[in-house]
Amino acid sequence: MSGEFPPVILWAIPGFVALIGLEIAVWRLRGLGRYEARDTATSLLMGIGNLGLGLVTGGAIAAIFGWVYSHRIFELGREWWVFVLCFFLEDLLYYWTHRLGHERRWMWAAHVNHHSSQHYNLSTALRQTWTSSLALSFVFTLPMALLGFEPAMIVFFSGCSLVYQFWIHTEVVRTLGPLEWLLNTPSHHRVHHAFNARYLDANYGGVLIVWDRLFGSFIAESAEERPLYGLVKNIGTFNPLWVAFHEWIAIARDLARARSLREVLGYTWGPPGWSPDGSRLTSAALKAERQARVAKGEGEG
Amino acid sequence: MIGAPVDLYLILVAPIGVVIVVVVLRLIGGWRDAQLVDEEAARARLREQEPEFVAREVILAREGRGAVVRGRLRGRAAVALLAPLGDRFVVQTLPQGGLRGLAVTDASTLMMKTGALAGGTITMTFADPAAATAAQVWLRGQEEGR
Repeated sequence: MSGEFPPVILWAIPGFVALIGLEIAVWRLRGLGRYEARDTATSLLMGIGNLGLGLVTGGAIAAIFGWVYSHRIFELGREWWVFVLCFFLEDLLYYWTHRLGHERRWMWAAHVNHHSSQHYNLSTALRQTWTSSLALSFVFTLPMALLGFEPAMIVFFSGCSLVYQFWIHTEVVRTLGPLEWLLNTPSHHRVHHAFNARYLDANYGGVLIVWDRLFGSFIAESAEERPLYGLVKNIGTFNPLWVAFHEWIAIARDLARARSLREVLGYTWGPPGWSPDGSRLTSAALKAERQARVAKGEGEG
Repeated sequence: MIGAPVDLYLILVAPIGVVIVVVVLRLIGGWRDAQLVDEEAARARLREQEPEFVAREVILAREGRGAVVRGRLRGRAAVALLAPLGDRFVVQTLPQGGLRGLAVTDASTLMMKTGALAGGTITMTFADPAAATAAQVWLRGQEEGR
């Protein structure tokens, strides 16, 4: 499927290892971006599992892309402007897929593992999903193949986006000056990984942050409140199997006691935290609680 | 988003790399067990994770390896558990009826079963039997069926 395009993720692996080594050195020398062995091991095992499952599901997904591409509307070829267009379109679709990955529980179940570490360092970037195929995340990129973008080109830009997003998982780099307006940066992505109510559901961009600015999901990192990393309800284990599947199991448990179609839809496609009686809290409810606390003068918490 | 072709060999070799990273991190101070230095540290951690929880009383586990906190959450009596995970704490709040089981394994140790899918069984050893008994009284109030 990759055709003449380089396998960017594979090529980047030595760079990932070198940068993690460098960040560990910075942590030891300057105390930034703390590493914890068990947490790091979980993240790395999740990354390896993601690659392994890619071997299992990659063929089927490639076949689906191939089939859709065989019914393409336009013959786009490999003109320079097709590459430019492909980059922007892939990044835009990444934004929406990622946003849905936070706002719809079925897709969150596949993505939650990436946010499950209470640490934020380069190893967290490798805490990748094992179940994206189950969440059907790839479906959102299929229209690109239908339009006439080569599947290999889509894979290439998707890989470039993942490689780009690796280095922004760090506390070592504070801000990038004027580039903060255009690009997804460590600062923007720290906000994305934070569970503080003020930062929830923000900064979904892949390479470009302009999509968040355009669609109203941008929140800047504030000096008043440092990001706290992890989940609103953290999971009490380093076991990669639990990390990968816990939300799917939670969905199954909820579905077993669903009493109506509304509840089935709510538990699967509602926002994470949805419950029929409102006994659990969604991001919107947590943000509303924070607003109330701020209004009462109880601090930013 | 789309599965990229990967080298099977790399996947087979990678776990060795993980072992090396863990060993190196252990050697350079990257293996530290979470510890609460005092009650205020427990309250501070709770404020971060559950800002709506109004903490009233805290019982620390032995050597600060966890805490049971009694208070109120959204207007109702609740108990919060701070259980260590690596160098961090995982917070679970128990509303009334939120505790699935409680066993006293020895005079100072309690085993609590919460509804959490992962990390739902928490064993906490307290400084002395009196502290364990006090925590037990708080937790009994949150047991299922109460």
